[in-house]
Amino acid sequence: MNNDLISVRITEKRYVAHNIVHIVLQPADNQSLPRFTPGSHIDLHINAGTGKPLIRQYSLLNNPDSQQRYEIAVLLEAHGRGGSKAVHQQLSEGDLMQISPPRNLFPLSPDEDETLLFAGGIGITPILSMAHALQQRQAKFSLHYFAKSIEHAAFAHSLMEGPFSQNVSFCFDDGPADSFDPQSVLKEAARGKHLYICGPQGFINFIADSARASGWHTDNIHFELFSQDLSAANDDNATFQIRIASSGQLIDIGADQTVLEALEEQGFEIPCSCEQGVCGTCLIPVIEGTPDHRDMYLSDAEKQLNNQFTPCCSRALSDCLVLDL
Amino acid sequence: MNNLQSADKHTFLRNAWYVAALSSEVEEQAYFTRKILDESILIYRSKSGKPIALHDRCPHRFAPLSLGSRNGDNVTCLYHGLQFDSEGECVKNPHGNGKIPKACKVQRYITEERDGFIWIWMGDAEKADQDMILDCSRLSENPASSVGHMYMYNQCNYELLTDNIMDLSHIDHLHGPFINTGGKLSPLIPEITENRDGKPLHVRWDWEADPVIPLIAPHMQRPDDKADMFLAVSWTEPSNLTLTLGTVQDSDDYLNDGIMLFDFHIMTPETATTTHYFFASTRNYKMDDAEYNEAKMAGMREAFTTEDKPVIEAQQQEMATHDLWSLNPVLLSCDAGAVRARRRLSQLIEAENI
Repeated sequence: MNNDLISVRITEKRYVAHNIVHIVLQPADNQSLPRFTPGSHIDLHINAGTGKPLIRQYSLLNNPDSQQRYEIAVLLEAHGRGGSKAVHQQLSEGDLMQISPPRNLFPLSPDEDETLLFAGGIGITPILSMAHALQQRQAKFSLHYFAKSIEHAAFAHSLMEGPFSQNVSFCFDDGPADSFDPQSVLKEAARGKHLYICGPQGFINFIADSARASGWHTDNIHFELFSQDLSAANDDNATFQIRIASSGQLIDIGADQTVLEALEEQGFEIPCSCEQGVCGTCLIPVIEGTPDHRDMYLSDAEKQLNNQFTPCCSRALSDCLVLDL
Repeated sequence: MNNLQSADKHTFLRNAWYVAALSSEVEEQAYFTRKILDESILIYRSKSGKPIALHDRCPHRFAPLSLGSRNGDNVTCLYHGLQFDSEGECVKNPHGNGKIPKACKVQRYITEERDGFIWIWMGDAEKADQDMILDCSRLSENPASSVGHMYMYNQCNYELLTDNIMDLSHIDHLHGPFINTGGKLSPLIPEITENRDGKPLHVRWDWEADPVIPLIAPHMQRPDDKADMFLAVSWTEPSNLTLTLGTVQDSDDYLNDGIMLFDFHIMTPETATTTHYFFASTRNYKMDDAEYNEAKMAGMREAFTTEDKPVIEAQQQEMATHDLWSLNPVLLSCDAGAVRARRRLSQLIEAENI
């Protein structure tokens, strides 16, 4: 609600990589900014001059210990919904704007023996904040940063020279072909080792799948999809598959059919009621894969667990969902 | 398999703030009594004006203490003369040698008076955190001529009243032309958001009004023109809600350029099937017009008592003492917010009873 919004001023706006702008937000007036934890994001309310403000989520990238400032970095997306374009073209230093308090759907666990951070492209933003926090608590960590080239990698230079430069490794598409070997980095899975991944879907899948193949437990793999554009996803129903865990049966889900319909066609009797993600009657446990939650029944925390979904309306972000049926 | 579960319908969330009374209901001297969560509560003001809440039951033979008399800040039981202080400790036993048995004490509840409400903490006193009280500060900050409070008694379960606010689509079906949006609300799937810890839970509807609803239109710059409107509800456990209505023309800034109403709907269970309904309202227009304020509050009471209340009480009659989920209701898109609030509350109650 409007009451909860915070007024901030853009005190810095500058390009830090190809098509990536870095923005520093500081409290307007004498307000104070709530503290945040690494992995948090804010809603930016962007007045694009076209009626209702655009609301977009951006991860905070700065050290959570740095008081009274929030920093974000925004990649210009040519085929986006207009949020990044408005940030790049319409916002200037000195502008006042409204943001939500920080929320964290990608929290860093407080007690880990060792942390591996993986960033793909602009997915570096929450990862940077995590690295600052880990450095602060003198924890053991490594940061693996993947980008098209050094010109496309925001904050690459400061990472190379900064306080934890020893912990950072880079992998550029235009660099040496074998500069990253997932098996060697991920080979020693252990209970106290945790993996955090942020970047595009393909990148997350690649790292997470490599980790699982190396024996990592799913509970130790954490990821946040960068630019998870749910409204765009809603317009465009991708096809995917589901696998029935008990029998191994594979079922194709067409773009114009729900998982519930497909299951019923195959003779499964799934109890359901509202058929639109309100009542939760049809919930099915998910063993593997990432659901595209489109229901209103599960809380944010429950959705984040990705261990159940509503087949009446939710779909999949991964190619296949393994269902506990 | 039905994943919707309610805790036992006679179980209430204990570690939570409830409104016990409007400030105006508790006078300087007189005792005030009200049953809350099936417990009789005695409320009175100490000499310094602070509200004291005690279980309205003498631990001896269970006579209501409110039948007795006040001696300063102490209360004396009418039946056998036991006297208790404002902490509920027995300070006088006129019987035998006057020894006060250890067990002779009355349950005392923590209270906090703010913004025209007397809040009561019904749970573990050590867990009472005043920061968790619903923020109603706007009611104190705005001029009195723009603020109103009221109390209404309802013969229904408090969660049915929460549902009524979490699902505002009923406005277009139940309510008259004064606040009806002309069918704009029902087709909307409300946007639901939650804070990190799941509270409060926000539900919001945005639509283009053409024309603006008659309640608001006369206060707009161009009363006959279309406008952007929104309704937003925030739910905080157990059943404390804020409702905001915003209307604006040619701007995104509802608060500064638009007309806004800020309502507070706070439901306190009396029993499983009866509820104390506390309502307060303020606004950002005609703030100095006390006459308008009075008429507006009267209109809101009228709308609730003649339109909402009869149907919700009849709903309770029809459901008797059955739990909502046990009757397998068919749910619609408009129920999304209410379902989330009910789930959250039942999870909290469950966690408290482990």
